[in-house]
Amino acid sequence: MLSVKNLSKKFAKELAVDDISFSLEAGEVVGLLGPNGAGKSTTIKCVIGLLRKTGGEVLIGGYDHLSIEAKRKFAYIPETPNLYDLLTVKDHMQFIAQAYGVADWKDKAAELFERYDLADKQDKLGRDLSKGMKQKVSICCALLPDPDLLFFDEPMIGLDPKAIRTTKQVFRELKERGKTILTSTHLIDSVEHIADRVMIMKKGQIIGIDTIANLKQQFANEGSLEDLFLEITGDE
Amino acid sequence: MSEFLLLLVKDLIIIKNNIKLILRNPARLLPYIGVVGYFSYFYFKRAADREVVAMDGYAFDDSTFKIVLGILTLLLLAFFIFNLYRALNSSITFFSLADVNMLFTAPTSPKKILTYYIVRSIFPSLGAGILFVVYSSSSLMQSFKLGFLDIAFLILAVGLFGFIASPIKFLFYALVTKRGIGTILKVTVWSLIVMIAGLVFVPALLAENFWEGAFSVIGSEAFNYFPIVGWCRGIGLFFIHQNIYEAALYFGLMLATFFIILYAILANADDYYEDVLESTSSKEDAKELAKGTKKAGDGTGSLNAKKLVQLKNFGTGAKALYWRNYVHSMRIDFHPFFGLYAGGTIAIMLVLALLARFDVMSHKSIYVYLAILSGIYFMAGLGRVNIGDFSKPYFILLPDTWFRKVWNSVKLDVYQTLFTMGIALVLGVFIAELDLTLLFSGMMLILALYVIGLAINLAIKSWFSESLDQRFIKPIFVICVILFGMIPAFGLGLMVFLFSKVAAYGYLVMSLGMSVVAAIVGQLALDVIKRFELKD
Repeated sequence: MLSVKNLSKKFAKELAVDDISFSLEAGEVVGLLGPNGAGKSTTIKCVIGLLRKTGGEVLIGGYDHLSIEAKRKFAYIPETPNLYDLLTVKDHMQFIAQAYGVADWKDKAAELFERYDLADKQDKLGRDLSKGMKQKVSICCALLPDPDLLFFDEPMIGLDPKAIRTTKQVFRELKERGKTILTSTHLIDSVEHIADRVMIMKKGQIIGIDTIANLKQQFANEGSLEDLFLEITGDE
Repeated sequence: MSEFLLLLVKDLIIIKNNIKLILRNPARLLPYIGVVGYFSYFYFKRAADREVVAMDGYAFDDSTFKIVLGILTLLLLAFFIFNLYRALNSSITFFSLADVNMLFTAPTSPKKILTYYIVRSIFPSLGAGILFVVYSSSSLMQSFKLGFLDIAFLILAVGLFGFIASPIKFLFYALVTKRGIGTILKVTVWSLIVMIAGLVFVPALLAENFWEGAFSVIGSEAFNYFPIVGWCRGIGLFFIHQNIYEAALYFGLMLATFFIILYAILANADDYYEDVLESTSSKEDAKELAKGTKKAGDGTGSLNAKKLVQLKNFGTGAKALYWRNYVHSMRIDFHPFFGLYAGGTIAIMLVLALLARFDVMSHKSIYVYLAILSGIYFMAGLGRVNIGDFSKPYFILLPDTWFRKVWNSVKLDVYQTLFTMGIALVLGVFIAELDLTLLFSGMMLILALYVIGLAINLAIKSWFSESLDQRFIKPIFVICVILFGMIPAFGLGLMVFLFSKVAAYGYLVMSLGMSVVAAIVGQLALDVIKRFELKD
């Protein structure tokens, strides 16, 4: 579903992403972990085309990641949710439905609103929502087109406990339905029980990518994923 | 759905929601109705009282008209070239962060998105054109009989001139980043600057009268053929030349230029997402700043950002604000009371005073310099509320009186002003042998204008919670304070000068008048400051 070969990204003299390669198969959930400044968000932004890659090749569903065909296949949930100030929650869904050509969007939107407790906020303007609410709307917007591949950049930030639980549940359901997910997070336990593999980055490089069990074996660490992460990144 | 339709529907929904928002709280319209009434009154009053000057009274061969038009043209050229120069180093954006997150990642064509947003950007410019014409027409109506076409062309000229700068800037930045021709563009911009300087200074030096010569070329009718600036001027001056074919020709040329620029942008900037990310984020920050939901960082331009500072406590309560300002100032400049700007201000005064002393320049230049400094301090006061302590929650939370909080927040500014202006005025007065009262009046005038600016902004921020209202009401409030406070104070000073023939006495009376205005506006601000709020 996603193939990244020799991706690199340079900002002025700083190499933020250093020649990384990885791939995600259909139906796979991969947790992207790493300390602050490791290059997680930059990697995601390069893959989805918000940042121009310095080198490498990125294919989504076999298409070049900048093509419209590729964009039809994925959705992105940014770390900071930015909504249109003067569109209501419902308007945002309508906008996304048009952009992605979602036919029966109203029923799907209603279902998502129900899950994320947004049913009574449908007519609220983007500018009047709290950060957590905006994040919920951002997730709903990403889920509405039912894409094959989802990029979540720190999706749990700002969410209330119930929404965090809902999002974890959504991850499981998406996985069961064969969707592919790449999610960057600092909340390690949020991916521990759901990720098929984890990818750990540090200083722009991938320093570990495998199943949690294999990584534990490789690093001879029987503790939690958090222990493993701290050992691999040398932050213990 | 086609990209254009998708974006059009989105914008129409935004307009609909905006109208609903206003209708939900119609009381918000009251200040606007007041403003419309105010302008309508003057508009019709002046239209009734006008003494229409014959059109040939404003001919291009009239030297006074040429000078006025030349100054205006020079300002337009400066604005245009400044925009070109800025485009060499930073991009501009037509987008919001919501566009970045929702639209850029959607299966939509980047070129079509860009085309839509560039074309759409003409509407705010036309809106600005309408506002400008509304503001200025009340004065123009006094001298000219403006018809529908005159007003339409005036709006079009202002709108097109404001609009065309953005696509050019976008194209320039795209050419710099994609084609790597930054040096060529830089040379082009500098050549343009040299050429315009030549158009002003060469005829000025050749002419008998410097000013008449300076504007003989850029104030001439032929300058209407100068690309963009001249064309826009030619469209706007339809109310004088009344040649519809000429105005239509310039309009056609502007349209053709726009389409060429658009074509060049699309050919060179198809992969522009990263280029606009930073500028979009900055634009959003600026928007939040204007709304009051985000505060300006005050660490910009620090000379010693990493300097280790150890400073004893200044006291409790609001004095902590003064302490913070002091520490901050130690990091951004040489000394809390004396920095780079202070040095520059004093150096300019020294040069002017020496030139006046040796009769190279008139001593009037010192008065003009003081007037410019007063304007700068007024603007500094106006902008002060958006930065520093006023923009932080502890300005509200700190346990002390409002007066002490405001005073301690600006105390360092006042001390810096007293110190800088003290040195500058002593140098100016003693070297140029000016009247000693200027030592007192110069200082008082600058402090009064700083307080007026600060108080206006504090009062507006405290009174109006909606950012749109704040942005709209602020200039009106400023105009009112200028009209009913500052101009009378200035007039009083002028009268004293005319009677006494001593500029320093006029300055003294004007300073006293401005101090009274500062006291009134300051008291007003302190009365309403309890309502001051910070938005998340």
